[in-house]
Amino acid sequence: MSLYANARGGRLPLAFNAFSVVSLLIIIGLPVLSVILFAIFPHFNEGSFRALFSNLYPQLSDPALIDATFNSIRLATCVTLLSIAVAVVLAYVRNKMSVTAGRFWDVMLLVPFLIPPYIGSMAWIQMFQFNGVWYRWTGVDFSAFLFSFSGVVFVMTMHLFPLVYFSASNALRVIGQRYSDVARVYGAGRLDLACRILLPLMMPTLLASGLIVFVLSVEEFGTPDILGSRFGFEVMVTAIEEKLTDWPIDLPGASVLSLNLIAIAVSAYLLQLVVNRKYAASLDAQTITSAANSSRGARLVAHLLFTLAAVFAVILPLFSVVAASLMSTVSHGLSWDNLTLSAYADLFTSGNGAVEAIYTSLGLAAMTALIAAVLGLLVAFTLIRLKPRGKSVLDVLSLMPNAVPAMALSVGLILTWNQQYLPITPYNTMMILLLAYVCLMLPYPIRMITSALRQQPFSLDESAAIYGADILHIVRRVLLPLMVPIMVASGCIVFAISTRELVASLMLAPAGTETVATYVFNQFDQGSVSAGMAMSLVVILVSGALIALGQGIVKRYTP
Amino acid sequence: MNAIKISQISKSFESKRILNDINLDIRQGEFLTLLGPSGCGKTTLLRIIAGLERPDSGSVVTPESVYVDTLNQHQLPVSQRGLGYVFQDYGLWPHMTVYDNIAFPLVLKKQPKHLIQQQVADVLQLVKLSGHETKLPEKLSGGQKQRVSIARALAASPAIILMDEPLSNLDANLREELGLEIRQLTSQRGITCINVTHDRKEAQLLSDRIALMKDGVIHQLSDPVTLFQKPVSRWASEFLNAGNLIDGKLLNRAEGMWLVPRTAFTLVQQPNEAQVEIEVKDCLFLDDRFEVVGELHGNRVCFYSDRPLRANDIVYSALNDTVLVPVAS
Repeated sequence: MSLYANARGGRLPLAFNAFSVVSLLIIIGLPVLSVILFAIFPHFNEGSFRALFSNLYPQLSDPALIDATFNSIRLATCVTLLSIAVAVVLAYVRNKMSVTAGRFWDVMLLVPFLIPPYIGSMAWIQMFQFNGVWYRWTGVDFSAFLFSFSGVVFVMTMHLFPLVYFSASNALRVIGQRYSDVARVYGAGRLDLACRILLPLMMPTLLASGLIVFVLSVEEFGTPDILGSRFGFEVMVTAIEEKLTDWPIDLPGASVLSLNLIAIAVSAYLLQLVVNRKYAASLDAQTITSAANSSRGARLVAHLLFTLAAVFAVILPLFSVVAASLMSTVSHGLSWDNLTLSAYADLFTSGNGAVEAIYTSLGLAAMTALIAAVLGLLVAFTLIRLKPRGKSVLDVLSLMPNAVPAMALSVGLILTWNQQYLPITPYNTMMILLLAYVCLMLPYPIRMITSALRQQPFSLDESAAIYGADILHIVRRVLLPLMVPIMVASGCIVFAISTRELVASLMLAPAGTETVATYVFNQFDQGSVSAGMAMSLVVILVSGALIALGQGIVKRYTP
Repeated sequence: MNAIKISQISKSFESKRILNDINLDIRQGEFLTLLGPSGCGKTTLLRIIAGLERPDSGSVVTPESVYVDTLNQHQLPVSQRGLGYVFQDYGLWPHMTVYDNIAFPLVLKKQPKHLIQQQVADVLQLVKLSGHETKLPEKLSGGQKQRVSIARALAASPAIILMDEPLSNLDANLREELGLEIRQLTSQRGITCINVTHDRKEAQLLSDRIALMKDGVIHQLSDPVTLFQKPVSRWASEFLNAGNLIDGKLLNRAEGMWLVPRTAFTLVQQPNEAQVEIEVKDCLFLDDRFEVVGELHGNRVCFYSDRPLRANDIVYSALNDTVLVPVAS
């Protein structure tokens, strides 16, 4: 640290710091600032501060907005609680299984991360709608359930509970063996153990991961839009989308709603950070893997529960995607003579927009991955090595996209760049999509590269300096080569997630441009289910492979 | 002739005084160790000499150049001091081979390639690692890594090498072996070395002179033998584990605090006036002899015996009173 502290005030560290702060300000700070300013000064774009707050009160007292806000919070709360419940049960019974079985189910529960929620929702519609696959198999009509508040909660929970499950089962593995052994020695029964030792110790973990699920649920657009529109259910994100796409376009209204949305998501995210900071270090993270010594009955119950979870979180949605992509006529159902690969063939014949959408998405994703990885390295180097004064500004900026919903960011980008007085603007070009993608993806490379850089001892930098290297040399010859694998890994993950990004693509794509996600979304809307689902499967497989590759690289290169 | 002249160096971190007006002259070609408990400022002093820290005040000067002089606001960048540095955690770049690690300083100096190859081969031979050129550091043992680090320090033929606990990550046997090698390599070439450690054995093993540091000041500066035989204070004697401290009247000496080396005791069969009475508390077999812990006039003493003793026995010992040293408390 002091190596760079000595050089502090030198031109090079200053340049690094200035560049990281300015680029994050442009990418993340400006849109958020615009949302805030427009909500408070409705005539800000005319260069005027008049009518201060005039917009805020009428919007905030609009019953539709109050409804949407209430719905968002209700939905996110229910999804969070249900996710925690499912996750705690699964994490608890996982301890009863052998190591190999546990690993198998862990891999299984990673799959929901690979299915974008909008694709999942479409798959559930195919499964549960009247005359859908489920009805043909069982004769039971679940469509009323699916197109209801409970249905939306169910679909979103099935997508999000693995997040809580993984942190809960990790926490249990640490606590379970060490602390409960001690408790048992001092006479705790099974119930005492659960109530007095396990739950209190797991609380911070559950709270933190639950809050992340809350943030993701509040931000989620695809599921509430696809399912909720069928029964008039409106949340904040879908309300914003409506204000921006339905005539007359209501920009001030969208900005007030976005500000609301940001406030809720950021509060939940900050609360999560506080919980993590306060309690994360209090457990000693020492894992002892002992063989499971549970009865056969307990193991059977465990496997049954996991099978049930996997059926609903993984197998049914995936099966539904595959089946729908293969059916030539949806209403004829699943039969051999109704199966065809023509939807896949059509994907790669130009003319219907699929090939173009794929090219657009691949190009955007590649650019995003490159820019995000390079920016990630710069920010990480500034944060971990230079530690300039006022580094908290950079800290906050780099964390912000975690909490700012994609929909609010899109509104912010529109408010920032769709202005008459700008001589040049990225708005209505591919650049605006690139800007949005980079902003949304930045947290991944920043988090991965900062933690990798933190593990490299300062003596590597110091010895380079002692043997004649200046700061540029240190970065180029020592740190960059060490970080390249992690940069590539984060690039893979960014690439994978970018190829399926829906919200910013819907809101910001220039006229006539489609990405893979908007293609899927629009095909489904227009009733070309098999085309949409074929594209979905391609996305799931490609992005899944890339994420696996990225994780593989991380595992290989971290000690 | 001084290789480094350190004058009036002071340094604080967040209002905590780490170094307080340090003055130290390091002679050409000597091996000097800064020894002290953690937090005494020894590492900070070393890092100031290297240029990794900036002092609040004072100067560090060599015959060739001024490293730092706060009066003139002068600070020579780390990269221009031409030092060697051996890190406790080796500081080897994990993505470079042994060859590339050692060649790094030479490459940055833009030396011709054949010269670099020759020099790397030479220093690798010195540290007995010829043939390991293409290996990555992760493939080497701890001792080998530290040898590479030493080879890298030697490669650019610096006048001064700084060492930060070079032996503390190694196991005991290896420590001694590598310590002797370091002494040999540096003294043969007349390299001035400054070493930092909290380990008194490491200091004894390597040093021509030892600067014992406490609370940001140099407590005692002398050659190892003098340091261990005549520590200037009770604290020094205890930190160095120099021997038994006995408070009181001893034989015919005056009342006071006496340092009695463990080797001053000789057990005898028959008591007389010139001997002391010791109650045995414990007897351990360590290395190749018995080490006895006992009580003498209410003081805990430790000495060597050639035969095992039983706890609670009373034994008598002659004292070699020529080695008794009074200690200021």
